[in-house]
Amino acid sequence: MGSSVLGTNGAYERLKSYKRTLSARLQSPFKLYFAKFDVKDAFNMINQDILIKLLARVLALDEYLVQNYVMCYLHEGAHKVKKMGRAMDKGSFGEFDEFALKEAGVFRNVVMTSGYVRVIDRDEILQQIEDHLRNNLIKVKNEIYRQIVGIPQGSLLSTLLCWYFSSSLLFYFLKNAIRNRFLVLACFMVIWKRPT
Amino acid sequence: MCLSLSLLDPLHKATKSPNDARAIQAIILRDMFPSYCAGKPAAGDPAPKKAGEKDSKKKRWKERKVPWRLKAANEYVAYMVKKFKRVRQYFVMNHHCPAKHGDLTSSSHSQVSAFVKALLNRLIHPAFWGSADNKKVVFRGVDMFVRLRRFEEVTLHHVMHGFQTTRCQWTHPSGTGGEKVSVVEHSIRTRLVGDFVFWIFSYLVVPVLKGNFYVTESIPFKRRTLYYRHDIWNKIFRQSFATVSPLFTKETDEGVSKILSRRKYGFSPVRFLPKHTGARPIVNLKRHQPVAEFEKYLTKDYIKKTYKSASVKAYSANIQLRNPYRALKYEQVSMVFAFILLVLICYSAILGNEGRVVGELSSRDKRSL
Repeated sequence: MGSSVLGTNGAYERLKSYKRTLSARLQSPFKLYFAKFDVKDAFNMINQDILIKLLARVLALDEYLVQNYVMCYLHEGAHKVKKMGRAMDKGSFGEFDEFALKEAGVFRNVVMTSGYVRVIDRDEILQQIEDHLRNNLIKVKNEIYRQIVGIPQGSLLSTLLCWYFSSSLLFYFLKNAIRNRFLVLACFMVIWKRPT
Repeated sequence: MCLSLSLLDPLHKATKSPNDARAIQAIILRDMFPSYCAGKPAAGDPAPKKAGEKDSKKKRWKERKVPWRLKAANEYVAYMVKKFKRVRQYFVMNHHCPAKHGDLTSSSHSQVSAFVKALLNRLIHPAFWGSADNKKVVFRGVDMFVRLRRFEEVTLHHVMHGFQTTRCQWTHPSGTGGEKVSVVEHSIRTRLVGDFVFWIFSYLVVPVLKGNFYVTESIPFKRRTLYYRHDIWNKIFRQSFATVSPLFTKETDEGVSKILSRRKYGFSPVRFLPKHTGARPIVNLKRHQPVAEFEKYLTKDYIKKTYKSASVKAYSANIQLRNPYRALKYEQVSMVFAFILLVLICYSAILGNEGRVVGELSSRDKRSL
């Protein structure tokens, strides 16, 4: 969970900072080796019931406030207008100026306008996700099929859902590991083995 | 598929009803030279219709005289119609893109373009090209077209580079060729030749490719286009769907209407993307589905109430799921924070002072743990 990233950009950031720390520590030239592997049928192995139970625990707030906004920025010499939004705690809702400053982050020269603000019920969100998971309809040659195992491919949510599921597995593993110190040691020996 | 067949329709029709050959030739000519034929009443045109009098389109085209400049072109079109009747696309394809038994690979670009060129060679009268060099120029364009990667385009200007317009005798039937002509006359001839080459690509090459091949990109080759013969592709499709079919169950019409009446997006088309072995299903959840496709499952009143009209498009599933996504994204941050704490606990567990860090956790983090 702490080490999982979404997309290549996230991985690049981590790798870059890692390499910087390494080269500061090791004066001699070194080589990095990469292993790439694919989890077979990762999306299809996720149990829908467990995932829905997990999400019910993950979504902690009763209501989420979604601040919609429009962002205009330069991308490769062309203006891009993007409709975006961010969910937040009701308590942290404040001036749009502050929000925009925080949201712009690494972007420079962006124009942001405030859109509508919506308050969404937790149950509504859960119901929407559940409906999406259980009633994912696909059309194959004029026949309609419903997905009964796993999470939908190509969905906006699926990478995030997969992330939650796999990290809950890791949580589970680590939690048990606390009880079993031998496992913790084994786990950390793997994580902390530095390239020599 | 549908589009491709409709584009080839005039040629198909010509094979079925030879009596209408003249009318069909006229339709092809109109498709071929829209700039020359459109809105230009020919000498033999019937008088303008009176109100209430309905005249079939076919009849009008039958009666219309061929414009004088297109008389030669008309003969070549007749030649093409005649040849189209005789040529058996399947055999030509089998010759150029053979399918080995049990082999599920795509045809190579050179095989495909050889097939298209062979067809063009048979269908189009040598004089229509103007010269052998011109033919080579267009064939080079066919090569280019077949080898295009996904989202790439080729312009008519690019294809026509090196094409000698003056060699096309049919653009100036009365002249002897080679004489000096006015700028206007020259632009008319260039336009006609451009129309002709454009027609070859949009009304012949594309429909023939679509009719004989399933064209797709793939996972190992990214944007490179692969051409699968339809029979081979059907096998791949069936095999790939069989591997994922345990994940799915067939839904009845009642079930679909029940699901659709609860939410504001419909179902998603699935397509298969070839990989090293088999193919991976890709579901397009970004598609804005036309509400008309729901008519089979939902009542008219319900459609009017939720979507206002049946002629609009519904929002895609991914747009409908934006708010759940944002909420999950918000919680992700606190989850990462909780994880770091957990690692700290593990670390201290090794050192043997578990109680200290756990004591520092807030109630919220304990819950997420």
